[in-house]
Amino acid sequence: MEAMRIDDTNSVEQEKFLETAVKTVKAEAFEMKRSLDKSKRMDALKHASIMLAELRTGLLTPKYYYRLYIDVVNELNHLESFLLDELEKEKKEESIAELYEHVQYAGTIIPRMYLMITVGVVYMKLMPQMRAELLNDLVEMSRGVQHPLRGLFLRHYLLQVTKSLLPDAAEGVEPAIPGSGTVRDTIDFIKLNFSEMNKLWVRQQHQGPSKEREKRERERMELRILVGTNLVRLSQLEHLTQEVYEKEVLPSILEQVVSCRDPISQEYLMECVIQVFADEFHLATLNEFLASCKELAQEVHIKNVLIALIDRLSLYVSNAVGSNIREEIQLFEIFSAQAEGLIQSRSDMPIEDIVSLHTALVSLAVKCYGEKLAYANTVFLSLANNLKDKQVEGIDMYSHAGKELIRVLRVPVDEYKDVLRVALLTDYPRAMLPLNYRGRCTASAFILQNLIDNETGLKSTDDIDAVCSLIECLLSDQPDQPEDAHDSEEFADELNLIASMIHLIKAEDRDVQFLLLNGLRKRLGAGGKWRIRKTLPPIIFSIYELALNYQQSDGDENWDMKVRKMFVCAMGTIGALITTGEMTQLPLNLYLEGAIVANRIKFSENAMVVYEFISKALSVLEDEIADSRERLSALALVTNSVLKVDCLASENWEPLVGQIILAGSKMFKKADQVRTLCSAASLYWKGKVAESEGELRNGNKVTEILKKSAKVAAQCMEPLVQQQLFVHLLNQYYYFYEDGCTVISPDVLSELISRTRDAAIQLEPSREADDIDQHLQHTLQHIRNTKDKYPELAEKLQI
Amino acid sequence: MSSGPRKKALLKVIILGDSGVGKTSLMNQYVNKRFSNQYKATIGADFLTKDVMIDDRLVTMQIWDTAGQERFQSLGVAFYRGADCCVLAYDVTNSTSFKNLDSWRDEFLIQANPRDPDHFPFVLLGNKMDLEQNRAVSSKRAQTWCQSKNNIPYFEVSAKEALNVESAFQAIARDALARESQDSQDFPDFPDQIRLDPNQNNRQQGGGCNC
Ligand SMILES: Nc1nc2c(ncn2[C@@H]2O[C@H](COP(=O)(O)OP(=O)(O)O)[C@@H](O)[C@H]2O)c(=O)[nH]1
Ligand SMILES: [Mg+2]
Repeated sequence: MEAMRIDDTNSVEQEKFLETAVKTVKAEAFEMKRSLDKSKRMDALKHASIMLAELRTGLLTPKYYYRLYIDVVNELNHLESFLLDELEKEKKEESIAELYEHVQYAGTIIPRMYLMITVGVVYMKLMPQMRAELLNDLVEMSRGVQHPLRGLFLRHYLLQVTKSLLPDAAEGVEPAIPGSGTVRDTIDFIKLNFSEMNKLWVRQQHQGPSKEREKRERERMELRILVGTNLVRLSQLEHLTQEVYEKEVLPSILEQVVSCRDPISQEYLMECVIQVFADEFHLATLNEFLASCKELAQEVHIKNVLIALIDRLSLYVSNAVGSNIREEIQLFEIFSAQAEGLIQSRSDMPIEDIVSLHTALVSLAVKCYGEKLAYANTVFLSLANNLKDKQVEGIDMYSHAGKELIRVLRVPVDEYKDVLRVALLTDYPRAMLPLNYRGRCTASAFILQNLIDNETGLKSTDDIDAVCSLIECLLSDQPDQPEDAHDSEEFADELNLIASMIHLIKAEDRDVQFLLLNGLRKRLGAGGKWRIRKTLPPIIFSIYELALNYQQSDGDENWDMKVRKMFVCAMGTIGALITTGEMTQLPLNLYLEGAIVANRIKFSENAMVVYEFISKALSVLEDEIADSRERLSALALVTNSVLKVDCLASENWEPLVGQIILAGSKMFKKADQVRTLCSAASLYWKGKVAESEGELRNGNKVTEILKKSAKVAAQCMEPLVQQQLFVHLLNQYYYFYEDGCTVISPDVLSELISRTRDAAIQLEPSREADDIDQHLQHTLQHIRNTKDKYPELAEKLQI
Repeated sequence: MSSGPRKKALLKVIILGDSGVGKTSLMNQYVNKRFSNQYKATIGADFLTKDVMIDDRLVTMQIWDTAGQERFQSLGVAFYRGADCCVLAYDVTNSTSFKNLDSWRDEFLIQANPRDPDHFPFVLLGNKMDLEQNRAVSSKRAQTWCQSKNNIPYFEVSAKEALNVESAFQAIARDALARESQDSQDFPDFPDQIRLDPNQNNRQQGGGCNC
């Protein structure tokens, strides 16, 4: 907090200083231009000089000084443009020489040097043959400013305004304008300016009280761009050949960098070299550059330098233009050796730095040597070993090291877009291990996500094994897994990914497909209660789907046996959901679904399988489901399923239906008994067995069951409920009657109607009573509407 | 501050856009008529000048090329100050570079803080049209964006094949010049309020030295 306040007051103060200075600059610039307009050149220079004196300030920090500098330079550009214009017209050589001479008399050095440079530029433009000499003059004279901040900006101005004037003719060839200099002159000019600027910059570190070190370092970091401009200029020279770069320019830069022994300067300049020069130059000087890296100060973060270089060259080499470079230079070997050497020599290197070095190497391997899996694999192995040596484990994925580790693991996944290829990196999983449980799961999850996004088909046991090797932590309980891991959203999301993965199993052959599903089932089956609840059901569905696709034997003599095996496998899997998964509803549904699927396939033992499925569903109902509402809906499901199957022989069908009826009559509430029995009655009407042609339409059985329900309804103590049940029964009776069940006599119906009508009158008025009555009225209306079809009944009812 | 006697106008133009869209290449193509496939990162800001004639008026264009990455602008972006026109550039094969245009424009307006920002001249260049087959941003989309920003002029160019570069920069110069003349008309009596106190020149500045 304290520090922040100080900074704020500082910036308020800085703004104020700047404002005052800018005001003077504007006013003097205005006077300068007015004088120029009146052709009073000397007056103009006087005003320029006063304006420039503002740059002598010692009050501004680099960023504010830069703003002032820009305003001043904008004005100097006007001055230069004007002078050039005028002197061009005058066409007198002496004038410019005189002017150049004149400005050297300005009072203080800052205005003097800026004016000399400005006028010097005009001079060079007018007389190109003077270029080399003037450049040399200016760079030498600038030595007069030894204050780091002011000196750096002055020399930056020199670099900026001479940009288009720097001689760039090939060496050894006479330039177009005799005497205008060659690239040689420019190299010398910049080398000198560069070394002077670097000295100023380094010296800044050692000025002022030691307690301001941090501030000073921050300011130095801000100023670095000025020093870097020298390297930019060199890189822009057209005739700076690779040979000259190799033999002279780079060695002299490196010598400057190494000998200054200043970590800030070293780290920045090395990175700057990497950024500004062409890739071809870097490739030609790799060894020299890397050798210098070793000579840098201990405090330098060499990994930044190395990573910048690797990243830059990876990009270059991976583009087609540079592809033959890959064979010529052993980039990967060179860089991995460098990285390893660096890690060994700096025992205090932070884990995240170790990892990020490997990230750069993996990128290089994957992007430039995609076909050489061994390269990428070596990096993961080395990463795993390095982390093991450091004895790090349980890395949090949100820590610096963890983020970096996740990043490196992503590289081949994102780059290959083929998880099966990633799996070929056999040491890759080892690099996941230092992460903690959540981190490993996250890594596995993005691998699965990639598999799904790219629809990578899994076609063999090897494929499945490969994927599983990358998602180990999602498949079963882990030693470092928190107790409540299964409660998290991530856990659920990850299981969904596994479920989606199952849909990617696409073997060419149906037998293999089953083999794969069955194999994966075994693996997933070991996942424990929380996992199997989500992972096994999609396996079961996939098996059903496969079985349905397997409807024809296609001449396969083992077809019957194979289909049966599929269902046995599904049945066993559902069993695991009950015993290990502690589930009830879903297994019951799955059994019933199995029965319906098996019923559709005409394999020899389908009746037995269907029977087995349904009776297992009934046992779940009997043994596992206690809640009466759940029982009710479960029983409805079973009944519906039995209605849908037609392959059971009546000797098997009967006991199943018997069980349903028994279960119905054991329902806790009378109302539930009545309803389930009524549905069971429909089994004898609409149901089918193997022997029957079409529906059973067994009227005797139907009425027997309906009668039984009526008896139960009559026992109901609650008048409202009882009335409700009788209205329901009336509807049921009439339904079968209408559907042609001749066993139901008009007498029964008439009796039911009068019973419900009487009861309706006796009910206490209430909303429920109204509702029931309305239901009854609807029913009666329906009977009246259909009376023409049933004259006997109409007569009996007198309607 | 009439532009009468001083015939030659000096115009400051800033090129902004993501790194890699071809700002440096465009400037080099326009000023030096050269193109290179070689990639060299731009660090900091740098300008090139070029003299052009706009309707009988000789104009020096000072074109500032910039680094698209913040870490290469350690001193901030004060060089936006005093710009007469801002050229926004994107790469037609890279939709991210198009999406970032808004933030470049906003940053320019905040940092350069020009008078009358609604009418400050911008020009949009869609570069790398030689790679049109890989186009990721349609003409229509770019034009719609330009319309939504007060009808910014739009040019589709290729630094590599010198396609449209010349005419785009002509338009840039014209817009910048219009802005500059507008400026001179707006403030005919500019100097009075800041007429100098003669003592101010000699004021001793804390920490300053006579070096
Ligand atoms: N094909 C093609 N490439 C270009 C074009 N302009 C620039 N480039 C390339 O794009 C890369 C980046 O260009 P550069 O000018 O450095 O972009 P800057 O970062 O915006 O300055 C370089 O490799 C250029 O060669 C163009 O018009 N067409
Ligand atoms: Mg650039």
